[in-house]
Amino acid sequence: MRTTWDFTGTRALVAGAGGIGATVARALAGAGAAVVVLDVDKDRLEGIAEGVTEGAAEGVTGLVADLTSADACRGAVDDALQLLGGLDVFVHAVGVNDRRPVLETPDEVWERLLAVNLNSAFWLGRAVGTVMVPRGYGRIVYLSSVSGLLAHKDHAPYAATKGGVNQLMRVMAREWAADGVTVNAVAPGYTETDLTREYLARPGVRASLESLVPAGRLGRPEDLTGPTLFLASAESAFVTGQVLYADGGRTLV
Amino acid sequence: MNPVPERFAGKTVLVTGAGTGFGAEIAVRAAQEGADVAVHYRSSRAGAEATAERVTALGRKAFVVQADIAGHDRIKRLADEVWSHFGRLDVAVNNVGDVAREQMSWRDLTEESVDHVLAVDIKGTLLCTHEFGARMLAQEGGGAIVNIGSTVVVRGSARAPQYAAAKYGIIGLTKSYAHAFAPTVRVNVFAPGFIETQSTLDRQDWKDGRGDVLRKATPLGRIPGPEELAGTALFLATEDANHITGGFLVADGGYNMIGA
Repeated sequence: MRTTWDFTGTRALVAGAGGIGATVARALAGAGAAVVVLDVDKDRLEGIAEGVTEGAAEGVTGLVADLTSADACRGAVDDALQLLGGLDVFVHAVGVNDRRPVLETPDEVWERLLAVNLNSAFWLGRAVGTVMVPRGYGRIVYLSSVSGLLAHKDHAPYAATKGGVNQLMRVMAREWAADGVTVNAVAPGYTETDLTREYLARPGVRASLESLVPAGRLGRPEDLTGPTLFLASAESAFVTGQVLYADGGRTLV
Repeated sequence: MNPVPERFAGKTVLVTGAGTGFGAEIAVRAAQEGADVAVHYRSSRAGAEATAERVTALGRKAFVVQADIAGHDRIKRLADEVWSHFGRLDVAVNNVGDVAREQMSWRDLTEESVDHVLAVDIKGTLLCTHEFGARMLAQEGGGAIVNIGSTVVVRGSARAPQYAAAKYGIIGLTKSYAHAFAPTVRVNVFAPGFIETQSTLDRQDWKDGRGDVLRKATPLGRIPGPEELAGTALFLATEDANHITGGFLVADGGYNMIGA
C-alpha cells in the first residue's frame, strides 16, 4: 500500500473495523504505526491484519469492545494503552445507519444510532483526550459524513449523530488546542462498504446517487485514507476544528 | 516522522505570485517534494529569480515566467509558455491576490482599489483556473488546481470589504470549475488564516500589537510562517486528496471553525 507519511513509532487507536475503519487501520499499519482496532464484532476483527504489508501485519491488534457502553469505552482505551504504551493518534470510524422516514422511526432505532455513533464518539474521545492532553500531543480524526450537513430523506437519526460528531469535534478542538491536540473530521459521501451495500443494491439507488457526485462515482474506503492520514500526521499541525469533505464534490463546501 | 514526503516526484507545478511570501514557499516546498516548478511573477522579478535559485539548489528545474494576470490574453500567453516549456502541467497553485494591504479602514476605500482587487482576485483567478484547467483536461492524467483563498470569508473584513468579497468570489469560481472539470481535474480552495510573511511582519498594525492579539485569539496559540503552511496547501494537489474537489480546507489554528 502506498502511503505518503511515515508513521514509524506512532501509536494509533482506530474505533470501528468496518470498511473505512479497517482500511484506515491497515494504511496506518502499512505506514509503520502500531495500531489497535476496536469493534463489537469479533468476526470483523479477525481479518483486520489481512492485506497489510508484510512485516507490518503484527502491528495491528483487534480488541472486541461494546462501544455503546461508557465503561467499555474507557476500558477499551485503557487496554489499548497497555498494548501500545501510549497514544498519538485516534480515529473514530464507528457508524451504523437505519434508513426510515421520521414518522416511521421507532424509539429503539433513534436510541441505537445515538448510542453507537454519537455516544461512542464522546466516550472514546474523552478517554483518549485524558491521555493526550496532559502529554501535549495528539491527533484525533472523526469519520463524519456528508449527512452531517445535507438533508437526506430517511436519514434523520444518522444525520443528527453525524452533525453531533461535527460539533463535538469542534468543541474538543477548541478545548484541547493549547495542549497540542488537534481534532478534525473527514466527511465521506456515499461510500461502498457493508453499511451501504444493501441500500445501494436497491433498484435505481446507485445511479441516482452517482448522478449527484461531480466525480461521477461513489466513494471507496481508500479515498478516505489520504485525508485521514494527513490529519493524523504532524504535517497538519495548524489544521484543527475542520471538517474535510472527501466526497467527489458532492457537497462543494 | 519523515519531515518531507515525495508527493510530487516527476510532476510539474506552477505557482503564481511565487516571487515573495506564501507563493515562494509553496514553490520551494513543491521542489523539495520532487517537482519541477514554474515560478510566476508580475513585478517581483528579483524575488522570482531568488525562488528559482532555491528550486534549482534542490536539484529541480525552475522556469521563471512573467505575466500580469489581470488580462485574459496575458493568462493565455502564460499558460502557453508553461506548457511549451514543460510539455505538461500537473498542478497549478493560483496564489496571486491583492489584499488592499495599504487600506486601513473601509472609509479609505476607492473605486480604483475595488476594481483592482476584484480584477486580480476574481477575474484573474477565474481565468487562470479556466485556462490551466482546459489544458489539463486535454492532457493525459488530468491535473489539480489549488486556489488560495482566505478565512476572511468567515467573518468579513471591516478594513477592506472588497478583499473579503473577492475571496468569496474565489469559492464560487472554484465550485463551478470543480463541477466543470470533474473527475479529470480537481479544483479546491486552500484558506489560510493569518500568516507571518515578511509583509505582514512589516505592517504597522502588526508591530503595534495586532499580532499579539491574534495569537491570543487563536486556539493553537501561534501564527505560523508561510513555510509551515506550504505543505498543507499542497496536500489538496496530491493523490492523497484524489476524491476531494470543490472543497475548502482551512488551516488557521482553530481561529474560525466554520467554513464559508
